[in-house]
Formats: sequence, C-alpha cells, structure tokens
Amino acid sequence: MGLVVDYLDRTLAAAEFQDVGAHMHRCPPCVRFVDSYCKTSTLCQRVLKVPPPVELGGRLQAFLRSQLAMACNVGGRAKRG
Amino acid sequence: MPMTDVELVKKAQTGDYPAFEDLVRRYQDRVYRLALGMIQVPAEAEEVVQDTFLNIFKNIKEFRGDAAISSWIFRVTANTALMALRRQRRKPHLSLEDAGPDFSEDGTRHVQEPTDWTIKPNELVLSGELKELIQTTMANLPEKYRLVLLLKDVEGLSNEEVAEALGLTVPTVKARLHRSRLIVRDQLDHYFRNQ
Repeated sequence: MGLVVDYLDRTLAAAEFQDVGAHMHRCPPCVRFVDSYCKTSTLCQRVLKVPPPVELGGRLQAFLRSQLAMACNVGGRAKRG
Repeated sequence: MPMTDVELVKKAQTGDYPAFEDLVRRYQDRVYRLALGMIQVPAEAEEVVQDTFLNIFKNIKEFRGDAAISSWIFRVTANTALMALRRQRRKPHLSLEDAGPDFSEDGTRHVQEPTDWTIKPNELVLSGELKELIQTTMANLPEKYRLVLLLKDVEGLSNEEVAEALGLTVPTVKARLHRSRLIVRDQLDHYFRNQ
C-alpha cells in the first residue's frame, strides 16, 4: 500500500528502491500509474494552493486587536470593580 | 535577520504583541488555505482563521515547545475547521469511498489499466472544468483524508510534520495520503478517459 508513497518520497530501503525501479523499467502500466499518481499531487497543488484575499491580513489583525482590546477592557473593569 | 519561530513565540509568551502579529503574518496564508480546503467557503474559512489565531493567542503561554509551533498552529486550524464543519453540517457527504475504488482491509486494491495522461499538468490546470473537478473531489473526500492531502500535497509538509500536526503516526499518514490520492486520481482518470 505505502510502497508507492515511499518510492516517490525516496524513503524505501536502497535494495527495495532498486527493485521497484527495475520493475518500473519493464512495466509500462506501472509507469503510467505512477505518472498519473504524481500528476494528481501536482494538479491538487496547482489548483488548491491559491493566494488568500489581499485583505485577509488587515482584517485578521483588526479582529485580533479588537478581541485584545475587549479582553483588556473586561480585565480593567474587573480589576476596578 | 528575521526572527525564528521559536524566538517569536518566546517574545509573544511574554506579552509582546507585535511578535505575535509577526507570527500571525508568517502563518496566515497557510492557515487560510487549510481552512478553505476544509470549509470550501471563503468567508467561513476566514472565520476559522480568526478563531484559530485567537485560540493560539489565548493559549500561547501554555505552548511548551515540545513540537514545532507550525504543527501546533496546523493542529488548531484543523480542529477549528472540523468544529465549524460539525456545526454546519449543511453538506451531506457524497461518499467517494462508497462510489469510488474498492479497497481491501490493508488499503490495497486492484487498479484499472492506467490511462496515459499525455496532457501536461501545466496545461490542464487552465481548464476550468478540471479545476472544478478537483475542487469538488476534494470537497467530497472524507475529512480525515482531506486534511492529510491538504497538508502534504498542497502545503508541502513532510509525512512526519503532518503526523505531528494531526497527532497521527507516520504509517497512518502514509495510508491516508495514498488512499486520498487514489480517490482523486480515479476521478481524474475517469475524466481523462472521457476526453
């Protein structure tokens, strides 16, 4: 099951890596399968690695600062009270 | 020279808010992508990002540094996104496990004679139809598989980093990664066969 993952990650033991490589040389269906398997990862990355909206950072900082200010106000009132 | 994550965390733990903001800026894009990949709706993904960093801010003093801060941030993001999904549950799952390839208990399966995907991914990505197919397939992946695929293939984490972020073993990460790639690959293969 994980053979193809390990083969592509190059985390197979050297002998096993060579065996798989040798098999690939004489097995066109496996070559096509591994090719499509790799392209699946590439395509997922290309489609899904989208840049976030440019306003994300500003809105996020504003949100966090407002939450911090609210927490400080609540804390301040609690201390004064 | 920019500060390391560890330096930023240490400063943030002493109440240095600008250091915390630097940390946020460093991770906000990746957190957003992971949230969007899980939630699918940009506005809701942004809420997950906000909740994630608020949670991180509230608990940063408790971060002991046993794991990388990135792992902790991704774990909080994943949990926050999963909670948001549980709350909404407006999208019933089209189970690709049911509709897709049959796996044996150990995750192996027989693969249909592979199609030759002669078109290069660079060209394919321009196709709106294909883009939609990948997005829909991802959206319908079971959440546990989607998380692993997003962290590994989209964000480029190592298997070990994914395992640390999600609290899984490396073999489990590999199994889920393999299975999710096969599910997506099968959908793409079906698409290419019919081109």
